[in-house]
Amino acid sequence: MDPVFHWLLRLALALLFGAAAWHKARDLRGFAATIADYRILPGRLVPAAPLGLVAGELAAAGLLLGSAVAAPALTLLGAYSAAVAVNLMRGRHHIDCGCFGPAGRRTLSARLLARNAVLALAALAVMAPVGARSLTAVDLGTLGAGLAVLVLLFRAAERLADAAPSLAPGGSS
Amino acid sequence: MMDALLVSQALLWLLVLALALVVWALTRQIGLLHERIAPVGALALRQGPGVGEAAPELTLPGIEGGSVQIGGLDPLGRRTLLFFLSPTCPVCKTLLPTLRRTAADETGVRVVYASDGEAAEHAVFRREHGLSDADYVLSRDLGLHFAVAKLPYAVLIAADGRIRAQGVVNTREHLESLFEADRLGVASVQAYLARQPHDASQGATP
Repeated sequence: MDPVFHWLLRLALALLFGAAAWHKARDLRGFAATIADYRILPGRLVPAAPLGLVAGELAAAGLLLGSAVAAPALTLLGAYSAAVAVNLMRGRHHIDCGCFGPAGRRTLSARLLARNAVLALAALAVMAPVGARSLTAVDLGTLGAGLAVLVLLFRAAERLADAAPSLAPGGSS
Repeated sequence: MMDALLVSQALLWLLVLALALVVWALTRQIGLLHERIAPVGALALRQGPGVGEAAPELTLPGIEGGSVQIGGLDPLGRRTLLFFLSPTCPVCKTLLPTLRRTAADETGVRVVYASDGEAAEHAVFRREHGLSDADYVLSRDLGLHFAVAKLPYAVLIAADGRIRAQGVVNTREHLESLFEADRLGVASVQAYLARQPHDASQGATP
């Protein structure tokens, strides 16, 4: 894989996990309530969960950034997706997903699972062997612009998906 | 040839970035539109009943049967805290413990929960949050009458049916400020500050 693609994915994923950790850390109490709503963890583990998950996400970001190690990121994505799937099967669509902290106001849906699958594929791609081409100034420009566009498109896609159900004819959120 | 290609590339990146910005801005607009036509108050007038005016008088069926009176004279002389919420609103949920405490501690205050949609959506939600015994009504009309555009929204109605305070509430402090407004007899923080002696409100932002 060309180093530019590799670095683009690597930086984008590290940024994603870093941002997710940051938003969750801003309201740990609210995040604890979100975790409790999932009804997956036994009660006594819930108070420690917010910090644990924030630390896990920071570790995932750091390892991706520093050593292209995607294992923690993949583990987190897997665990989160499992939690979402369990609650979708229980019919509890209305709970808050907590993806970017409790202020996100996003409920569960199959779309979340699809998004996480795409992110997991990206994480796997980071571990693919990288070509030895040395990067030039042009490459840095490509990386910067590419990252900016990815961030904008990601946030746009998330927002669009959030609004979609209530904009459907006859639908209400 | 290389120069032309490089220039083309640079231009393409700039344009792609600009396009991405436009797309992102568009989705922000859609998000705002969505909020304005979200659950309660789709066609609400911007100006609902104001503080000091009589609350709209409505008798609504409670979600478990019985009827709930909004507005008019309260037969037991209680104030009513009308709280508009939705099961998919996370901020609403964080306020529920405060509301339950208010209902339990303040004997002179009746808490009424208002939402809309189908009763089935609310059954699980009510059970999970200890609202099974509370006054709970489902009425799109109620939201329209109070011009509720954003949740959570609360209205404090006096025993004589007049609106004492109302507004979007995101925190416990916001809820408490409704009771403060009632106690002080002012409609809003701005009105309170405007009342203060001139040097006391120096530097205060509205």
